[in-house]
Amino acid sequence: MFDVIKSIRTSVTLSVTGPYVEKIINMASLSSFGISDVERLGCDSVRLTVAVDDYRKIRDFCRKNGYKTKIVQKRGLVFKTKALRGRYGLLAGAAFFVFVLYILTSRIWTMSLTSDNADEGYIYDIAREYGIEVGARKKDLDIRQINLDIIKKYHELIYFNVNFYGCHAEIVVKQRGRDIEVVDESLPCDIVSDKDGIVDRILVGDGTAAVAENQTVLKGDTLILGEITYDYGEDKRTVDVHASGEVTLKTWKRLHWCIPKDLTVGEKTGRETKRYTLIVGKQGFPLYFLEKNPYVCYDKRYKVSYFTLFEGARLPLGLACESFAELEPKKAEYQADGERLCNEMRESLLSKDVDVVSGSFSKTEKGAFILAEYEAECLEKAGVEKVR
Amino acid sequence: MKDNVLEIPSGMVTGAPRVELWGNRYVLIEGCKGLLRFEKDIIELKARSFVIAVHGFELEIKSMSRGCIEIGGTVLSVDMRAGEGDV
Repeated sequence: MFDVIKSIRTSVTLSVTGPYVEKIINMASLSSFGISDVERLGCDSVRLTVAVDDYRKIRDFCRKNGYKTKIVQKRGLVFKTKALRGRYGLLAGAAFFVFVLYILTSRIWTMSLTSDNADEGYIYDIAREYGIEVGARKKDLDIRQINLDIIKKYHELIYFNVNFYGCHAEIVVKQRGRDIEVVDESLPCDIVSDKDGIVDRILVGDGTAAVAENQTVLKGDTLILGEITYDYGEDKRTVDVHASGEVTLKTWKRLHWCIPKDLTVGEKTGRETKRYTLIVGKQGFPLYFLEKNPYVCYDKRYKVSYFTLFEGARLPLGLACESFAELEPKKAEYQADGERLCNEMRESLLSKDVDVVSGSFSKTEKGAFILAEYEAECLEKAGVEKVR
Repeated sequence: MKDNVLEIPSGMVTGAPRVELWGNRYVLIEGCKGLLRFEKDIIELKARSFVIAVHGFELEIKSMSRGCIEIGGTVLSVDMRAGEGDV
């Protein structure tokens, strides 16, 4: 650090030759000149470093008293830039580099999508429609307005945002289930059942309940009617509304799993090979010559690391590392642990937004297979909007 | 009356030179009046009524300003002797 500061500070190192050079050092210190790194060279000469502002004064004093001075070294930013003054090609190159860097960093060069269930192509098409694409200028995009417009236009999207990391754009999307039809809130609609079951609970937000609790409903039956009847004695008036509410159905599910007893598992042999690929934008340039995969049976892991200028500023340049771990196929027997199997089957149901109330598990072995069955009583939300 | 009531080092008031030694690689001398002799193995400084001599080898003056001098190199000894020198 000290060396860096020293190289930026402008100073001149000179040699002074003459009788009794201590006189010069005394004069310099009395005149408050900043002298440093004084070194004896010979019986009548010293080398010293002075600030560039004091150099002329010391030189004049030396000449007046019959001492000889000679510049040994010039150091500092001023001298360095002076040395580059005549190099017009270098200056033009530096200016061009800054210009190109500015142009390149002001545009989107790579894009990625972060979403649980969205179709990548579909989202990129939407983004392209609003100008978010590779090569687009970031300044030209009013992301806040684009987000609002997209949410308004595409009802299946409940969240849309673009995060910029240098010249990388990350689109973050949250999408409704694509099978659910979303009806414009200004239009009257009913809520119909999307599955069979028994009504466990019904909460009506707007409209009229069409079913009662403990009533059996089939798929397509109306659960909440999109109309409200106002009774003013003899005058009855019916108004169409956009039905809303929450209906919970009691449903039954049955899972059948067939698991082979003999399994083939891969065991790591310990041999591992890595292959690197240089990523520029979306293009990959392999840094290896082998085309074939290195092992017959392997476990492949893929990791991409992008270069960053600083935190958050990602360059369109990265290094992808594929690591292949050799596996040896080995026969193994499935451990038919009833409790574990039951839990696994139960969890597979829970992952589908289903609340399991109770369940029964049975397991039989048939030849080379284990047959497992799980019957569960579940509670799940039902109802989709349907235009009247 | 008691001496040194304020407990200030007497040298601060009288302007006596102060010598600081940091190991054998660095010497800081404050309150010197000028340089008498500068060689690779000896540096002599004038300080009030005596002369401070720094002995060693590869000695160099790291920096020098009014009354203050920093000496680098391998220091063997620092001694003082009475006497006036011409600066």
